[in-house]
Amino acid sequence: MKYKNYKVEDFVRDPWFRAWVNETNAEAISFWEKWIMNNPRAQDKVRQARHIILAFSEMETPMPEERKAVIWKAIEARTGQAQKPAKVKAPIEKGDPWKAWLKVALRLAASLLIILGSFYVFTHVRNSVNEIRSSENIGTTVFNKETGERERKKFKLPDGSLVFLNASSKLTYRPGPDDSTREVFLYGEAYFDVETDEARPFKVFANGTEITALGTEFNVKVGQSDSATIVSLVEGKVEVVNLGSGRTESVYLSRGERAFIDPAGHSMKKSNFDIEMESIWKSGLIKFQDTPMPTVKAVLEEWYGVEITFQNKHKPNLKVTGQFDNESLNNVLHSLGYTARFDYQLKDDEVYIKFKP
Amino acid sequence: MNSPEDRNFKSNNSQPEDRILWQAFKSGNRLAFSTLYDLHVDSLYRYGCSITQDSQMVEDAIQDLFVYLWDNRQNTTEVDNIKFYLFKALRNNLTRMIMKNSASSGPVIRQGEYATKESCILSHMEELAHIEDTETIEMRVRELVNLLSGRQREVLYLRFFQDMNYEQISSLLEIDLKYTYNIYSKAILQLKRYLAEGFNLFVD
Repeated sequence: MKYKNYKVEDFVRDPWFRAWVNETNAEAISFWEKWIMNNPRAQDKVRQARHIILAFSEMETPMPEERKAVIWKAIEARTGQAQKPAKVKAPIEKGDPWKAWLKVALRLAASLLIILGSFYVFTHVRNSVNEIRSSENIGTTVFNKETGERERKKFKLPDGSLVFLNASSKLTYRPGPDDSTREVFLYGEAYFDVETDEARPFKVFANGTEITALGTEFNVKVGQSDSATIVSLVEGKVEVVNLGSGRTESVYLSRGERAFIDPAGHSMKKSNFDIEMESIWKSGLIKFQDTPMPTVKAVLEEWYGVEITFQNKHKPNLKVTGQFDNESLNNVLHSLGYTARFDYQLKDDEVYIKFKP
Repeated sequence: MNSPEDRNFKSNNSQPEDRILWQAFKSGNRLAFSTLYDLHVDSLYRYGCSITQDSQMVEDAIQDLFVYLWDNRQNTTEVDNIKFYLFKALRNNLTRMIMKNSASSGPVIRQGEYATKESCILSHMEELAHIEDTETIEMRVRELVNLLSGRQREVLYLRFFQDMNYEQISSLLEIDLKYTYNIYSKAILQLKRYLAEGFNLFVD
């Protein structure tokens, strides 16, 4: 085990360790808590490293999102390019540097595809009014699927891609013009394991956002008027284009990064996320095993689309274990409340939890 | 799937992608330009804040940097490590601004007077509370920060959080390699001694 020989500064420099100290990753938290318990002799070093990281935490505070946007606007104005947004959906031609670049990007993606095999798209729309293009008179290769309120479906698209469609969702798949792309229009929530085909990029359209897979695995969550659209990359490379803003905005994501597009479609921002948690819903099973409360909260919020508020503090080391197979939120909270000793209230999309002393 | 500890948790340093992006940017691609900004603005900001706590100045320097990049994109050479290149350029901008400021309005607050954001420290305090006594920790973390000189802080920051090696740091700061190493090891020693002292008082 490499950590056994770690010096204080090695801990400080380890992003995985920092994820625990800064509590940015639930997996890191449980990993390090366990590790420290099992390695009591390293505790002093761990504490010192932790203090150093906390002392530097100010420098780890990111720039406020709105400042980023303001500065970018100023840069655009000063470089005189605000009037010329990059074209994104134009077909590839010779001569245009952007298109040449796209080709390079696709080639790069192709090599990633060979290494990593498949990629995933996970799309989620809550209360979506996103318009699905009518599937009439497009041709025979159009493929439609729909799920009811408490129903999930697993199926293959005509191109071989695997899809998990969550409750209350609707999906249309069709080949793009001249069969040059594969296009998915989504209403609801879905998880795609996409068959690789470098000649035909896989695109997901939802709520003013276009996601193009440049390789491998990613998640997409599409929001509506009150919730952000979230694209989360699990593996490889993905381009996210926000068609909703005045200029055509685009970001590239790397593994473990997600892009948020605000409900009005005005801006995009980037952050990190927990890969494990993002794809949990498709298994149909919630499983907690010595899971710390913050993670439990996040998983339940994700799964049931609710907001959970802790009304008082719980014991810092409170952990729960339990398994729920497509249970209602009420049942889950009821049985968790029994073991973790809390009362709860469920009001629409909000849950209030009060821990017993 | 890899075990979590093997996971490459940091993903902002991939060289081939850097090159592709840089070439596209050089050829005038706006998408590449905005991607450059999106990818690096956070770490530039943080790095800038390790040099001066005047966040307005850091923002201005970042803005100038990107405008300069765009205007001079055809003249720039190939860049192997975009982040390093940007850090260096930002540092130059900031140094120029600090010099200009100090010429017009007296010395700039920089060394030792590191203004810690209360809210930021306090949230960590809360979380530490169950391990150790809150007040003591709060005090100690603040002391710890102030213990370092501005330059020590910058070197440690680059080494710890930006994963730079000594060669890169010395070339960024334009100081001798040996001197860079000295700054680093002295700062580490100082921190450790301070922390070790403290911990003797808090034996469980």
